Amino acid sequence: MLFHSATFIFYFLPATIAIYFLCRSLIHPVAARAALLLCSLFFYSWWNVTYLPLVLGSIVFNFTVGRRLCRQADRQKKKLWFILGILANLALLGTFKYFDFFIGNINAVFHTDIGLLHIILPLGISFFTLQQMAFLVDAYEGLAEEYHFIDYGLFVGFFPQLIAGPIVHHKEMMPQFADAKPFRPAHLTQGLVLFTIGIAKKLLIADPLGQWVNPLYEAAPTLLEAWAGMYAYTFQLYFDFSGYVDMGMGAALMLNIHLPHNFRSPLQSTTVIAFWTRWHITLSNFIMAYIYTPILRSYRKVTFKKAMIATLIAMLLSGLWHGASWTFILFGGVHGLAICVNQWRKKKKMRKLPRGWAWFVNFHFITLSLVVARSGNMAALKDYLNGMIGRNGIILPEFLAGLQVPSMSTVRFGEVLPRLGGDFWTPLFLLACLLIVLLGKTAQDMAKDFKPRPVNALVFGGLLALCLLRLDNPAEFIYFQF
Amino acid sequence: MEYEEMFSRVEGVFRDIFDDEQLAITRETVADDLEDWDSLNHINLVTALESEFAIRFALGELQGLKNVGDMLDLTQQKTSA
Repeated sequence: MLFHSATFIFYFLPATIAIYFLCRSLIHPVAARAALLLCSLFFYSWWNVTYLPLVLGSIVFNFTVGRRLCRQADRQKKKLWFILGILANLALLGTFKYFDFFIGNINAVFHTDIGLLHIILPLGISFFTLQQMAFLVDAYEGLAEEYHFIDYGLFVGFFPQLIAGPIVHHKEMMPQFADAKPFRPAHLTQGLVLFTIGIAKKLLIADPLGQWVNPLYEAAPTLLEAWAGMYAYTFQLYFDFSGYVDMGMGAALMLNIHLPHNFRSPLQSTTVIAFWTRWHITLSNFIMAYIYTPILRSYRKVTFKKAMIATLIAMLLSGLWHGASWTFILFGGVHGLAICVNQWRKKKKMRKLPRGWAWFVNFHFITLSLVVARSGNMAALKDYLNGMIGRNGIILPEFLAGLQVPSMSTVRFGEVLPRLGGDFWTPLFLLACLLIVLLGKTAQDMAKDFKPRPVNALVFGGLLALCLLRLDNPAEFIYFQF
Repeated sequence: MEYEEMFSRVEGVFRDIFDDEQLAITRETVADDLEDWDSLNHINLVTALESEFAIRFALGELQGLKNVGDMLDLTQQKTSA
């Protein structure tokens, strides 16, 4: 079930809120939490019920291992359980996400013909597996308590975060579930504001951009198309993912649950290090704490060079986490390298670029790296990059037809951005996106500062109504593929 | 261990890592206050504190160490345990 579907907005969400608070006040808070868990599992099953046992199995397995780790006093046995738990999670992810990629590469290298599994990626598997692996590490290191099964189930399966994050930490979630506060009208209002901003980001910005971007990756784009498409995809991904997170945070807040922030205006960053502290923050935190740190700690003495190696490994793994393909590994690799360059410049105390330039360079590095991530395979990436340097032809606007460009026979004049389905408004739309990401307040701040005034009712009510008119034919969130 | 003693030893660790003998910290000092306090030096600080006080931080604790006060409190908690 998608957040921006009529089923979710008109039936699932209101029903879940009503059931939760009714159970809480009429029966018992534990019953309310159990009902919330059932609703969440229903939410997941709506998409494909055959994968429900997988999620449930993963929850029960990790809960059981976590409990063992909390109770086991014998260090050797504890370690065995821990390794078993981590390996099982990696095996699950390996089978469902990476098996075909792995076999495909073996087939290519050794000219073998091993059959592929053609598994449809279970929704949210990358997110709930990561989250539970962090839980096992904490349980092993004595940071987790023995939780109630229902609370643990909610920690993994809570519908606003189950499918594409934020990746939550048990320490920040369990106390909130256990607390189960009564209905708060202020939270409902703030939640609605967040939800409205999120759905507007998704339906009014990300989806129209997607209609321009998608065709470009199917046919080699010409020069201007490729550049417009590059910017368009950056904005599409940002508004799609942050829109999803805003909607999730809004829905959670209506149930009195505060999800952690996942974005802090990342496209305003002036360095790539800053970008990763502001984009998909919960993933960066996970990588930092549970991948980068252990790698670095495994060295006896931390040096700059070793830290850079650890950075590269962590970012390559982060790339691979996004998807099983060489383009994602390359995406992680270029970001790892960029962070190393960034660190090296800091270490050498090199003069900083002026702020505007630093932003310009960093923004273009990020947009370009997202072309790599979006392309899906190396051949499509090559086609697209060729387009960006004009090797698939150049079409300039008609009003420039008087120009004499003798040396470039590939230049034609005609409709610009034809395959984009774009027109005069296309560049203006992209410019508006840029202004929003550079100057806009974060959704969290807008919700926090929201005052119930008639003008706000009109603005947000109007925005929500506009979105509701566009509910038919919804496109999935990009991060559902990861 | 006395709080003052621990504080000065922690300050010593900071001076070592950031290579600045004049560096003065307070409980409220955060990463944004020291230009070189980035993710890399954060790990360096943590490992240096671990060997200074013969303690070990868990991975899940590191993200919570947002300022010097957090580091002092957790170090104190671990040395007195």
